[in-house]
Amino acid sequence: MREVYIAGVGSTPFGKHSDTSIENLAVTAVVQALLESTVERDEVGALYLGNFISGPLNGKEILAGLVADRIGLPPIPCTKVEGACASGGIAFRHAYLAVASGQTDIAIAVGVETMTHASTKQTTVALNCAMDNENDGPSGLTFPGLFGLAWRSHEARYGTSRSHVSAVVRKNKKNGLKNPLAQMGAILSEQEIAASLPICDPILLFDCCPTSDGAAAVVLVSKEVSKRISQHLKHPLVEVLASVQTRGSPNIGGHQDLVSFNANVTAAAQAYEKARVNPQNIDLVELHDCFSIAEIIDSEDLGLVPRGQGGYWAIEGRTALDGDIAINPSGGLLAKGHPVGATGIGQIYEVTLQLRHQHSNQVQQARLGMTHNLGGAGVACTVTILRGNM
Amino acid sequence: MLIYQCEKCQQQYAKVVSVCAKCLCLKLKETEVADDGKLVTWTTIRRAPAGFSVTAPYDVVVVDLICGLRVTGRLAQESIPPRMYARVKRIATEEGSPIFSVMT
Repeated sequence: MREVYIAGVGSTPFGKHSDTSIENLAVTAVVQALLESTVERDEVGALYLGNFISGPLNGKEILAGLVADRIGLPPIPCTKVEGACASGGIAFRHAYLAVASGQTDIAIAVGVETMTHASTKQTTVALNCAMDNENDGPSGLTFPGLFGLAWRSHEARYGTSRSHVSAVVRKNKKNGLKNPLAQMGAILSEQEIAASLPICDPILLFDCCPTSDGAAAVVLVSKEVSKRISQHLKHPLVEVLASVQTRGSPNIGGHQDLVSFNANVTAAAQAYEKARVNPQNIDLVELHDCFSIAEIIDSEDLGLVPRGQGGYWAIEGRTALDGDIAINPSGGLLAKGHPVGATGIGQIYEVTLQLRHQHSNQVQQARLGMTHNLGGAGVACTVTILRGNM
Repeated sequence: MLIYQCEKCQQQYAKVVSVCAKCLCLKLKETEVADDGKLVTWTTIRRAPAGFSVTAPYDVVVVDLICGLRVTGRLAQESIPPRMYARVKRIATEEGSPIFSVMT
């Protein structure tokens, strides 16, 4: 496989974009990324678009071709991919593979979702399509409920308490305050979090990521192209050391351990092996904190925090910007927002800025960064390891 | 409780499947297994999915049946409160969901 570099990134703010069509939101991010990369449109060989629910919420299903048409790309293959909340990460991996395999020298990955225009009922019905509705759906389970189940298991085994989990919320909300793209940064007290609306015990409102609109895009290039354009770029290139995708069980019955997602563990192991690094080498990670307890579970699954210690590390500040491992310096899904199909590429955007040393919440001397995107009840996972050149 | 079992390798499934994922055998038979199991975790849903027929709050439970299958179900409204690792018994099936009760 060939070396692959990130030449340009673009992103809209995450939040409400009720006056913009979903394809125009994606176009905004793609154009930013293209301009930053300095490559010409007619050089692009493929476009992959991550999206989950544009059909039910927008009545639109040909987004990849729509976006390419709006910006005048040549008649290249344009493909929409779907993997629930991991749709963006999967789109990135496909674009990476297109360049790494030699199929093309330049590929675009873009992720987009618009949700805030829809009613809560429409949104929850659409999101529940990511559940195994034969096995888990009939019980009346919801996605917050899935993580309520996981929290109880984690609490029983490791003693993870409300205070531990609230430490994750407080950190990510605080990080989000300084991120210009974040939807819901805040300074929250433990008491404010504990007093928020019960959703599904022990999950409260502040444990949940918001509903969001947003788009993010990345231009990936081969080493050959990177050499050609590097003199024109206003920023250093970022190298993709590993881009991995794994499958886990689509339902709870298939998870042997309710405090871990198999797809996380296998994706991380494969990514570390491909990148030839170990978890201790990672300076920062943007991981899938769709619910606060998810950050604790994910950080352990990725090997960044010892098993069972996720909550303890959060409360001790070891996952803060200046901690042992900076987790979600962007604010994560909890504060930045979660426009489902855009999230995985939004994470790549954030880590790329970190590795260029351009981030508003800069992790000092960041050189190796990771992203982690998880879909459904753990059915799809992507992990990416990126290396900066600063 | 009714489950589905592969005639070739005996792999068990909580819901009907067209093929055994373990050995790809196409022949699966309905099998009755014991209704008893152990509650491994639970959550109280306070906001039900849109269109769901049961009014919140209700408890969703994950149960390891004695036969070895792990299933997702709901706790009966009249059950005593859930607790980790409690013995439970399926007492009904409602719209595809097993309904469990915590044993004293």
